[in-house]
Amino acid sequence: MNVLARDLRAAARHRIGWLLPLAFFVAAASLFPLGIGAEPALLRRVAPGIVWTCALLAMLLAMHGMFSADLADGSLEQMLLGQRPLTWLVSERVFGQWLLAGAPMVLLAPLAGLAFGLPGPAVLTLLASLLLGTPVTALLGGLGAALSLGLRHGSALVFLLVLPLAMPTLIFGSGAVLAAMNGEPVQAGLSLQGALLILTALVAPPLTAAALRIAME
Amino acid sequence: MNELSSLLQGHGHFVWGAWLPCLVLLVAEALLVRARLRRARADAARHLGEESS
Amino acid sequence: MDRHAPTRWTTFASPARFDRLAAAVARWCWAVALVAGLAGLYVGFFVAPTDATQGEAYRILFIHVPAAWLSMICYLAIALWSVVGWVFKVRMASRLARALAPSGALYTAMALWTGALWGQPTWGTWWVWDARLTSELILLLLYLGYIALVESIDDERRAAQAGALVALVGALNVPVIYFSVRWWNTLHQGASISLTAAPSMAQQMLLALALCTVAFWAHAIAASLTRARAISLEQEADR
Repeated sequence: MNVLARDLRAAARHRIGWLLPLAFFVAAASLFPLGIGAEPALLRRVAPGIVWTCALLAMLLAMHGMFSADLADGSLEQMLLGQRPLTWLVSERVFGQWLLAGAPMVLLAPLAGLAFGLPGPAVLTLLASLLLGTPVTALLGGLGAALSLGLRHGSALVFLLVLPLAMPTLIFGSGAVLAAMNGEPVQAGLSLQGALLILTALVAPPLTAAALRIAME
Repeated sequence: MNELSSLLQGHGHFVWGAWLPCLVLLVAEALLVRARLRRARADAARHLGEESS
Repeated sequence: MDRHAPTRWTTFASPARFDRLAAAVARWCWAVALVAGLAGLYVGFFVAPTDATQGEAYRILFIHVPAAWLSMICYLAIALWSVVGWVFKVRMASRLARALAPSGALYTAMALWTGALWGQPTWGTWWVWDARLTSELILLLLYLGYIALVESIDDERRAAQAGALVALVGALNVPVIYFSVRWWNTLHQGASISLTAAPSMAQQMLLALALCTVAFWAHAIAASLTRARAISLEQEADR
């Protein structure tokens, strides 16, 4: 079965599914100026952290039910029994979900950055850091979703499990943007994010596959 | 006693504010976990009693 | 199937034998915890001298330091025992891992609480976002996630395996998290804020610290072994 193609087709039919996290991202980011005041200097300073945090939460919102639909309609069992290795199927699923949730957010982020008054180089860095960081969140979200599959309070569990693990990429990502704002080199933060992405991409899918097997036994 | 009174002045309330809750929690944990064991043993004994009767 | 072979550690995989061993060890450890704790309290408050720079506030470290150490050790122990339980299919190991979690979480919370109170006299704020305390906070979240997940799963085997996975992922992440938090600390504050450094320790201070550390270890062992016995009975009843 081609998980990626199936997911994209389903998303095309059911557009609300992938638009919702984006709407959440915008809504959440808007809370902050309302909460802390619209003074431009303050907003500019806190923008990297806020945009990043909202992107992280929106990604988790999109990812937390990654496998629930398959559990419900029985295709998860097929995946477990099928010929294609489960790790590969998991990677396809995570990639598909990232395309639907993460990629639009990466494209939206510059708008958010501008809304917070970020200067040009910082917006570019924001784009790069989200491009590197949202896949990490997607991978971790998949792991969390697999671990809490079928449990009551599953969605809250996913957040509790994944948020601590996602903190490093948040730190590196928003740190890079902050460096860009201060005119410092951004290589440090971005390369740390890149390393984290590679590490997570190698380690998370097999663990997610193992978690799926654990959940389904 | 001199040490104690000098403790309670100055930074004493921080020290006690830190120490007392922790000591209470440690003692409480010990008592609670022993109570949990007693309860579990009582339940297990009851189950055995029910099964054999 | 009663083997009168010399005691191999694997015999304690049997819940019955574990129960007897745990009962004996715990009894002894409660006693050690009480004695060492009282001694540590006495030395810490009445024998150890006032510190030149921090006055009396430094005495918080007699709880803060052992609590922080134990919080990390317990987490590693959880990872170790739950992986042993998963790989070797030893139910008792998984139950021990599960039993360690509430104690570990408690010590983490205590480390945070005492850390905050230590920071107040010296920094003037109730919380200091220094690298170590922030890492402790994240460790607490890891504990809570582990406990929440394991307690949400009714099937013992699935709970043990999922818990092992979470503990393993968490343990592997701890260095990454710690590194990133330190990076974050230097990034945002220039000269990194760090929690009050421990004073150069007079002999009596070291003695008090050693006694309190022994007391904490003994308490942790006694509490988790006792809890493991309870968990074992509860799980057997549910089967």
